[in-house]
Amino acid sequence: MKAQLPTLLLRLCAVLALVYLIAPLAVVIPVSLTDQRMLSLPVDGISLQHYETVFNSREWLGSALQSLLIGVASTFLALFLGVFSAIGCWMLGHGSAKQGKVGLFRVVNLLPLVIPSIIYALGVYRVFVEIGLYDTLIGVIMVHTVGSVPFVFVAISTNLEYVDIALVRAARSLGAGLLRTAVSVILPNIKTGLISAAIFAFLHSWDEVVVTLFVSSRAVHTLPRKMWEGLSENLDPAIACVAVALIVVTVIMLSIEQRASARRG
Amino acid sequence: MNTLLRSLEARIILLFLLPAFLFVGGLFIYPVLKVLMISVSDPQPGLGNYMLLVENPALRRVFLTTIRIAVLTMLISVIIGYVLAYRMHMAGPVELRIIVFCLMFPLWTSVLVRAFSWVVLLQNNGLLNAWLIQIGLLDRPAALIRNELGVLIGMVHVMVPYATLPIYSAMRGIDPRLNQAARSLGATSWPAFWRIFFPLTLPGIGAAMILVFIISIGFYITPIVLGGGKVVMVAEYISVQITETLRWGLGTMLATTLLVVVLLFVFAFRKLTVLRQGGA
Repeated sequence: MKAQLPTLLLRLCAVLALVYLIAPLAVVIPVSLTDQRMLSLPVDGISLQHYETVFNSREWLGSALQSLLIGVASTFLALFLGVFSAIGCWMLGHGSAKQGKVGLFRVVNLLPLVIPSIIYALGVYRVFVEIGLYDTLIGVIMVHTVGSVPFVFVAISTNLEYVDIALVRAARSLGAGLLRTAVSVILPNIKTGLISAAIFAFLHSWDEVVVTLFVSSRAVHTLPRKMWEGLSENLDPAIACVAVALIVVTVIMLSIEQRASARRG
Repeated sequence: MNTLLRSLEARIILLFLLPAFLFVGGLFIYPVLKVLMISVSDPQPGLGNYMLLVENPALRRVFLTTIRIAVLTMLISVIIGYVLAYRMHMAGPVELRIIVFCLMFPLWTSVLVRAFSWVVLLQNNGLLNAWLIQIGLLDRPAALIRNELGVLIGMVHVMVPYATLPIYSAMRGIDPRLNQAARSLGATSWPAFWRIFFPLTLPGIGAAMILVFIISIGFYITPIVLGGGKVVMVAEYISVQITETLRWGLGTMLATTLLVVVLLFVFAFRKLTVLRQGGA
């Protein structure tokens, strides 16, 4: 009995913590289905009217399309940069020399994750105004790419720990160049890492709002940016629908990632 | 010959590293350095902006608010994180998967969506107040947002996954036989936990505390949405300097100060994780 009580108490605390984590996200779903004009639970039954508003709105759809475009473009760019960088660090790390240099490259790739967004937002705002990238699609894609590189780098580096460096030596001794070794020998061996990397990169872009707020104004209107403006103007249930859309995309992406990495384990 | 080939090869590998290095260098490091430069050159060259840190009481208040909220967020998140990590450590595969999902799902959901969700739940005519009044616990709505309580609720929600994972990884590194050994030597479960298990998780707790603290002091979205202008943390204050009062010197000085604090803690964090790896 004496040993039982703390265990039960602990379990109760853990359940409460999980409810705290999930409840606010779950509650948006019924609110988005409300039949009322304001943010509330459905009163006389559920209604899809607010989804209709969002789907009939040119602005919301345009924002969704832009977010998708920016997300896909920055994901590909970040994959290209991060994958080669991670493979390079991995190869150098297994070589005899240049350990110090590898450390430098690692730090550079991880910096965007460590430094608070607000600091970067100020700097890149100023730089983009000077070079004419302010409020352009390309500018936002580049900013999102910078933020995604650390996620790609970490996912690929983690996967590479499971790859035998002897593969590289074998490919090289059979006459493959380094680039060919990387592309046709290593890449097929880190498929799960590539999937995780792509998903994390996309999700980063899909959710990014702080830096985007600083480098865009009218021309570029990502979904989170539009939602941010809606939050400060008026809170209506249409925002709940957009929140649900963002959540659904996250859940789908994460379950793909979980399934892919479970196969490896 | 062989060494020549080796060094040539290393040089080719450097080409793999170059694109990301140049991209991040040009589009991230350069803009951040620009912030540092503006902080000592606008409105006039020198350390005038930094003098404001000691002179200006408004700034002191913003920093105190920021540190207070970050420390409270850190303490609460680490306590909740410890409980969850301990459950994960004890759990079977199904329970483990449930907990991991409950941590990863919010972690990857936009902070904006989460702040919005809390507004829906906590505002004056929000769901929680309506429910508490309905069951008779309250007779008028309690102020749950637009104050520090709301900011804390929202920030702890974001930080719990970050606190849980380092603690869990420290727990996984502990040899389960230690617990059995303690029990077989006569220790009951509480002393076995308190004197054997808990001290071994301290590096994980330290790592979690530093991680949560450095992310918390830079928070932007959550305090703005849930603080409603009443609770101003440093990131919001910086953005006001840039977008409204156009005091670039002041804004960049605060950003630089924030950067220095974060980097100091990152350095401490690395020391700590190196220690932990050395010990394991």
